[in-house]
Order: sequence, then C-alpha cells, then structure tokens
Amino acid sequence: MSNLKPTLPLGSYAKQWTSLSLQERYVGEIVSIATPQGREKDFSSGFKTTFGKPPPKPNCYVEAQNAQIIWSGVGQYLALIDGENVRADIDIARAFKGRAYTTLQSDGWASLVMSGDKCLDVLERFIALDLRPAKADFAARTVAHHIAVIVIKLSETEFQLLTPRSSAHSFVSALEHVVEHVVQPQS
Amino acid sequence: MSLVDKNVPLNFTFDGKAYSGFEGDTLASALLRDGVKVVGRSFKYHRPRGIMGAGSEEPNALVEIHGRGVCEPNRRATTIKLFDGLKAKSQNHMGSRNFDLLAVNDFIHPFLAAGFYYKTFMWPEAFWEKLYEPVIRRAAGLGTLTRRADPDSYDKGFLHCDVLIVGAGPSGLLTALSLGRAGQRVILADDDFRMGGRLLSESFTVNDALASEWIGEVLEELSEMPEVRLMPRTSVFGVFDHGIYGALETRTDAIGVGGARQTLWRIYAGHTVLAAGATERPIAFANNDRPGIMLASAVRSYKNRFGIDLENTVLITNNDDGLRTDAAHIIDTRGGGYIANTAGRKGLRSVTLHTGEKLTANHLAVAGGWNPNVHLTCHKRGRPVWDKALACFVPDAATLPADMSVIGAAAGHFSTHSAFADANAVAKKLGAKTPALPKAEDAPIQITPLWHIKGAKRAWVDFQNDVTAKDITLAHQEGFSSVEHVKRYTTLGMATDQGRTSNVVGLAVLADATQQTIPQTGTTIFRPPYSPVPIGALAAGHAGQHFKPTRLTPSHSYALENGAAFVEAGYWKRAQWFARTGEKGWRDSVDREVIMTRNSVGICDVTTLGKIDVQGRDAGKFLNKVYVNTFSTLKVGKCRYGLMLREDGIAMDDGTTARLSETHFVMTTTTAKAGPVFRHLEFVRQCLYPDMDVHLISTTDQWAQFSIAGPNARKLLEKIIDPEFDISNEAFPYMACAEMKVCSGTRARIFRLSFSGELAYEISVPARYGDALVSELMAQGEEFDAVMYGTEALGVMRIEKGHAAGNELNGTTTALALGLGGFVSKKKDCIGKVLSKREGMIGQDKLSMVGFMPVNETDKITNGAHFFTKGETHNAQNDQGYMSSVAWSPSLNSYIGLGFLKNGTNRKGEVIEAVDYMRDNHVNLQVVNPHFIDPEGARLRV
Repeated sequence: MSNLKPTLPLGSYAKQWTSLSLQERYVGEIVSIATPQGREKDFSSGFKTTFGKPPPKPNCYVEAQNAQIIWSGVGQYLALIDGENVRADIDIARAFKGRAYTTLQSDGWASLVMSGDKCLDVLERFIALDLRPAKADFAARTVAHHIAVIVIKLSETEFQLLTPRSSAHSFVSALEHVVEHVVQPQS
Repeated sequence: MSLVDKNVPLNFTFDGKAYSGFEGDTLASALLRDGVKVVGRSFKYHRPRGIMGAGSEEPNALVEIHGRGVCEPNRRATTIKLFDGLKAKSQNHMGSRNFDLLAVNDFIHPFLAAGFYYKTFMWPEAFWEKLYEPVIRRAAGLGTLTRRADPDSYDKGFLHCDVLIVGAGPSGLLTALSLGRAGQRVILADDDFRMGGRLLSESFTVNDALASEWIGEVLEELSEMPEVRLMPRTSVFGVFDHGIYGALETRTDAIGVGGARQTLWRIYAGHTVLAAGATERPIAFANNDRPGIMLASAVRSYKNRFGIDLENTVLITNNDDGLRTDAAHIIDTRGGGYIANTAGRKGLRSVTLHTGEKLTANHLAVAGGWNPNVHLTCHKRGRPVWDKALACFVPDAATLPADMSVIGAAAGHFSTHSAFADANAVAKKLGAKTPALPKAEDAPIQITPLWHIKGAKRAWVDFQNDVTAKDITLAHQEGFSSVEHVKRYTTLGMATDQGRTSNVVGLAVLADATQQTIPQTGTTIFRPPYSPVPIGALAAGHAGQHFKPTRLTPSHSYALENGAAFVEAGYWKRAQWFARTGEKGWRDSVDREVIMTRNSVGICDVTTLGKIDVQGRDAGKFLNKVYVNTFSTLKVGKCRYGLMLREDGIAMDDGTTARLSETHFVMTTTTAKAGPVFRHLEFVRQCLYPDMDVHLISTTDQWAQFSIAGPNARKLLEKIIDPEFDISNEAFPYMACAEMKVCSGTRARIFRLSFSGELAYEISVPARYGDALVSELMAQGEEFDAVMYGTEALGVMRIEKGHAAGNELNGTTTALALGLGGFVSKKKDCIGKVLSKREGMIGQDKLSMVGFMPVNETDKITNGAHFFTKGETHNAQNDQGYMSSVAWSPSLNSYIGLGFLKNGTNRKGEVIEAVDYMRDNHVNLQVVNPHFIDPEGARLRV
C-alpha cells in the first residue's frame, strides 16, 4: 500500500517576464474560521488565544505566528497556516474550544505570488479593486475574469492571489494574457 | 510653426498609392499635404467627399485600415495617427474612389429621398428577396469587413481616481495641474494623441508666449506627478451609474502588431470634470459637401498644428471666431452675404455668391458657430438647455450628474481666459489651491445664427448619412414632427457620427419647418457610446480559450491519459466516457462501463457535485427550512436524501446531506445547481432567518470525491481503507457516513450512497490527493476489472434506477410530480411548501413521473416526445405529458425512458403513444415503474 502523493493545483507553476514573475506558492493549510452567532466575544478571545492577535478588520489581514489570517466576510476569516497538517481545521477548532466553526479549505485554493515593479500595472487590468492606495495589510475577496480571487498585498511589489483550484488553470491563462500586454517576455 | 516633426518622415499608402507624411501627422493632414482631395464617397448618393474636419467630428473622411489580411472600416482619417507602413483605403464605392459606378445615385437623387425604401420596391412582390434586397444590401452600409478573425488582442482594466478630467485643452490641463499639485489622484484623458485641445490649432498666446510652450511646461510638470495619469488617445465614451465611466485607450492604429491594440477602461471617479471642448458646425447651403469645403476651425488646425497652408481659401462665417481664419475672401453672413452655390465635383473650383458673383476657390472655410460637447452630461438623462446668446445648447446645471462639473468650451465658455477661469473655479471647489490665471485671449462671442441658406439645390446637414435639409422638411411634411421620429426616418445623427456636426443644424431646419423655436424642438437623447467602440475591445480578451473559465476535476489528467471524451457541465469538463481500443463508438464504451459496474465495480469522479459545509447550532433547523423533509432529527454519522423547493413550490434541487457532528452538516447539490443553491442558502440565511446561528462555505473544490459502485465496491474500498475502520454492512450500513483514513493515513470522508442503484460508496479526500487516489483505486481494482465510468454511464444507470436529475428537475415539476410527495414533512414548514399545494399543482390528473418501455422492443424512443392516449387525436388538448430522459439500457437490452404522464402513477401497464414530430418518431410505449432495476433497493443495502 502506498501513501498518496499530494499535488499542487498548478503543478508548481512558475513563469518569468522582464520585471515580473508569477509563481505558484505552497501555502500549507487554509482553514475557514466562522464566528458563532451571539458568541462574538468568546470568539475574539479564542482567536487571541489561538493566534496571539485580535481578528483582522474588514479587507485586512494579520500576521500571526506561523499564520496569516484574512478577513473573508462578516464573521468569517481565512487562516493561512504554515506547514502541512491536513487536520488543521480540527486542531484549530480544538484550540478555540468550541468557540468557532472551522472548515478545511487548503485544497480549494491555488496560491500564486506575483512579484515585480509592474504588479500594479498588471493587476489594474485584471482586478476591479483599487490596489494602488492599498495599505500593507490589505486583503480582499473579489473576482477576476469571472473567477473568484482573494488578493493579498505582501508589499508594494508583491501580491498573493488565491483562486479556486478547479479553475486555476483558466485563471493563470487569463492572467498571463494580461501580463503579456504589460511586460515583455524574458529574452 | 507646426507641431509635426519634419525630421521624421513616414511612408504610407492610400488606395495603393505611396505617400509620405511626418511624425505628428494624422492620415488626414498627410493626405491634405500631399494634395489628395477626394478621400471617399458619400453614404447614399456616392458623391465625392473630402476632408471636412480635423478631429473626431469628421463626418466624411472615413477610411479602411488594412493589415495582416484584415481591415478595420469606418476610421476617421482625422484621428488616425500616421505611422510608417500604414495601408489605408477609401471606402463606399463600386470601382475606384474617383470613378464610382454607384455615383449614378447622385443623378437619380429625386428618387432616393428620405424613406425611399419604405415607399418603393413594393412590386412585384417576388422581386424583393431575389433582387431588391440583395442589391440594396450590396450598396448599403459604410465600409466592408473581410470576415476574417481579428488578429489583434485587446485588454480591459479598472482605474480609480479622485477626479477624472475629460479633455486636455486649456481648462482640462490647468485643472489637472492644480489638483495634481494638491496631491489628488487625477486622470486626464483626451481622445487626441497630442494634448492641448484647441490651443494646438490656434495661434493663441498664453502668458505672452506661444501656447505650445505653456502646454509643454504643464505636461512636463504633470508627467512627473505620481498621482496624475495622463491618458492621450483615450476616448471617454460613456457615463454610467455610481461614478463609473467607460473609456477606450488606443495604443496603435496598426493592425496585428502584438500587444493590446486597445484597452477598454472602466474608470471609477470620485468627481468628473468635463472639459471636452466644443465642435464647430457647418452651415447648410447648396452643394456644401464638395471636397475642399471644410470647417473653418479645421482650416486653422491644418495651418497651425500641421503646417499646411490651404491655398485659395474663401471663408463664410456667421460669427467673429470664424474671422480668425486666413482667407482670400470673407463672406460674413451678418452683413447679408451668403453663398448661392458651389462648383467642382472632385474638388471645389468656385463659389457663387448671392449676388451671382463667382469666386474662384479651392477651399471654403465654413464657420457656423460652436456646439459645446455636452454628450457626456446627458448619459444619465441630463438634458441641455438652449443659450440664445451663444446660439447653442449648453449643459443644464439642474440635470447634471451630481458628481460632474463642466468647464470651458463644453460649458459654453469659449475664450481661453474663461476656460482658465473655469479651471481655477472647479479646482477650488475640489479643494485645491489655484495658480494665478495665465494671461490669454478673452474674445467675446459675437454670433448671428444662420443655419440654412434655402434654395432649390440640395444642402447637406448630416454629411455622413447623406441627409439634406430637404430630407428633414420632407419628413415633417410626411407627419414626422418629433425630433426623435425625424432622426429615425432620415437617419440624421446616426451611425458613428452621432450628430457631432449635424445635430443642431438639423434641429434648426426642423424648427423652421415646424414653426417652432430650437428649444421647443428639443434634442434627441444622447446615449453611450459617444464614439465607436470596437466589438473586440468590448470583448476585451474574453475570446477563444478566454471566453469563459474552465473547471477541471481532480482526475482530469488521469481521464485524459485514459481515453476520456469530455463534456461541458457548467464550467466543468467532465469525462463523458472512456474509450478503449476496439470500441466502435461511444455506445460501446458506455455499455461496457454500465455492465462492468453492475457486474463488478466502477469508479466515477463526482467532485463536480456542489458541496456546502453547513455549520452552527441552528444548522439542523436551517436545513428543515430549505428541504421539504426533516434534517434536525438526522443522527450524526448518517446521510439523508433531501429535496429543495423554490418559493413557488417548484422543485429546485436535490441531493444528499450528511451529518458529521451535532453542528456540522455537509450538503451536496447537483453539479449545475451548486452556485444557485449556495446563493439561495445565503439568501435564506441572511434575509429570512438572520437570527439563526448558521455558517455556509463551499467545499466543492476542497474535496475530490469519487463514487465506487458495484457488487465489488466494498471489496475494493476495503483494499485502500486503513485497517482500523470497518465498512461492513453491519458497521457501516446504507446511508452511513464517517471520517476515516485511506492509503495509510490519508484523511477521507466515506459516504455510503448510491446513485446507480448498486452497492456503492462515495469517498472524499482533500483534492491534493485526488489524482493519486484515482490511480490507486484503479490499480487496486485491477483484480475486479474495475472501470472508470463517465457521465453517460452515470446517466444510464440513474435512469435504470429511476432517479430524477436535471431533465426532471426542470423548473416545472413539483415534489408530487417527481413521486416525492411523501417526502414533504407534514410536521414542519419549509420554503415552497404552501405554494406547492396551490390549486393546479395537486390532483390526480396532474403529471407524475413514471417509466416507459417500448412495446416493440426494437423501437427507439426519444426524449421530448409527447404522450397521447391511444386512438386520440394528437393535439394540445389531448396532450398527456412528455418524455424527459431516455437511454439504451444494456442491462435490459431495451430503450427505457422516464417521463411525466397525467395520473401516471395509476396508469402502469397501459399502452400509450409517444409522438415526436421533431424526429418523426411515433412509438407505442408501456407505462411502467420508474425503477427499472432493483425496485426494492436490495442491491444497495447488501
């Protein structure tokens, strides 16, 4: 009997242009965390105990130890956790001691990182959000090319894009199309 | 001093003949410099036409740009930035532009007045399709298409700013400067490739120096401001709700050179300053359309911007502004002078004055006054108002969009000084400090309107659509007095022109005919787009493989490698069947997959089914509301089939829902309804039951899910499941579910469910393991001759089992019709329950789902056939129902079908007629139990 070999949604995709690169980045685990209605204070306290920080505000993320937590909707958060642990949702639920509902989402998303000076020039042709004034802790959920995407600003020249696994190839193909209108292929 | 760079010559061809121009030229300026007078033929009469304007107002000089075997028609020569290698051709002629066979139309013009095609070609009737229509279609239209694929690519994008400034003339530039210095995010867009607006075309000074120097200084400063975005060659074509503007940026006019040729921008603006300037209008007089007759402002543009002196020019003007034009002879209509006629078919030769005096002239500059470019103020139903002193429509502050300011010539403030003053005023309003007003001309407006010099000969109003003053008066005589009706009857102001030069003159002619004033006559409604937007740019990259997203299943690679044919299911690509060597067609493959599954074991990727995590203390109560049956009582570790109704009582979707813990359910939906069901659930959660503690999240992509079906399903699953888990019938009975581990520790969810009617399980693993799991299942299944099966075999087996699917959940059927009336709980309420019991949806005579088999076993039955009682006439009154799904059943060696028959449940055994007029297939069918295979359900419980 063999252990099953995991695969990344985009097969470790990477592509380089002049002044811009796009590559799939292994995230570790992604867990959706939801607030039980009427137990918001308990949830906040559980959040602080688990991650050492209060939950992020809308359209923001917080960096915690070994994790990055994104506000993903009213009463919902998405935790990006370093390392492989396919039971991360169960472990986080335990850490919250019943004060949160958790769902494993690691395999639902493909993660891409776009780096380079031309990031904003590309993204303004791809995503309707106003990213130029976005602050350092910006994260938001939107759509691009009819496909869901979560945009996370890592720095002025680096953005992480999470997009659903099943349509990730279409997403990358559309994004490449846009990139090639902005920057030249690397010679 | 012109603004073209004579050190950079550019070569181009026009109608195949080589010409040259310079960097900074438009195609029009280069042609004029090279002495080309006729650039095309008019729309209807095929009269020779030359260049009339110098910008986007040009109605005549429409040309085709060629490249890479395709052409783009209807491009204004005045807006094409000249480039080396440009290939342009004139359009709208049969023969050459200088010898157009269709010019015969000009000689039979009395028969071709407005609406002629409504009045003639009535007889003989048979000629219409065979003669009249083909001939008219051949002759009509502006330009032609090659019908080849567009070799270019296009782009779209989204821009955000505090202030969008439309127009980079003096007012737009100064506003941008003030706002930019104040640190505001500014977009300055102009449809010209060179910014400066009318200052580029006049000989004005600013601060006692050439205006071009001031423009250069301002642009240099603006270009260094990080928050200011300069967008030349960008036409803002539409105003939409919530401060959203449509803009088309053109990178190049060349075809197929790589990169995005045009970009369609959606601009989100906090405020918009419309500094779009004004357009000069012509005067309608006899034969005013000859090549060489131009707008006076264009004559000045060609002289000042492009360095072209148009020799032997006569000027006719009704206002002071026209007097800026250099001319050998001036006719000021305010002094009583006017033009009686002109001569020169392929180039103006002479002008005849009202006195009968004939002036030799090669060019005639016409200055009829200016129309502010108010179009963008009207896209949100603003209506301009008439300014009698200026003799033009100006924006109405009362109907202007709240987030829009209009300045400069667009507001009717025509002098450069007033443009600067407006700029400072709006910049102050928007919170910026303003510089001292630059010193500039401030000439007052002196105009005595003259719209139409009446006479016996034709006087053109709309040059692009060949509409004359007579056409408008004729329309009025025929009862069309509303300006909107006249527009449609005559085509005045239609097509790419949108009435830029013709609108107000046309209104004036109509007002004269109706004995009304111009404001009483009113304007037509201006709608987006103000300027043409190519379809390619609107599609903006959503073409070919980028037309829509494609979703791939976790086993896609495996399926590709194993002969799968794919079918689109929503955005998903699903394996339809897996062909093997020697199989002659899809039926061979599907029959094999069905038989091997029923005899041993088959595996199908069912990841595409929607999966929704429903969590919360009220999750069970919530599901009670959305399903007709009860879920709050479902035990942990169990699954239940559920049917969901719409508010109107019609079946919406079905699926199984598993309870993983007291507060955690996993719902499955059909593939097609995954999105709509999730939206429905969110609506119910947020709007109908906001007090319930329920959270929803889609997990469709998270879990790779495979159905393992057939008598050997358990044996196969036992080979991969970790030994500490027991999936025997006793420990893990039908409709059980549990988290387990497979393949030495891989997390998995096992559901004992069956769509095929066989002993079956569905196994979910995190999608990262999906590809590996399917390979492992097939490797472990070798000893059982395990097969992969696709959606076709899945469909055959569900019909054999009598399960409803998309064809049955078709938006018209109720729980009762589906044979699921007993599922509707009497103990609780649910969405759709009340309306499902309304009159007309219940009763014995209503449709109910039953099975059908042909009486003659060799008969083929067809989906969509209608049922009739034997012997009754086949008409709507006697219609008894319809067939919804059919399949060839390899298990029964017969066609079988599911369908809806009136009182069907009580008609089993009856022979009816199935009539399919579409396929000409009429067969006798026996009404049978819809569960063709194992109606007792023994197989799935072993």
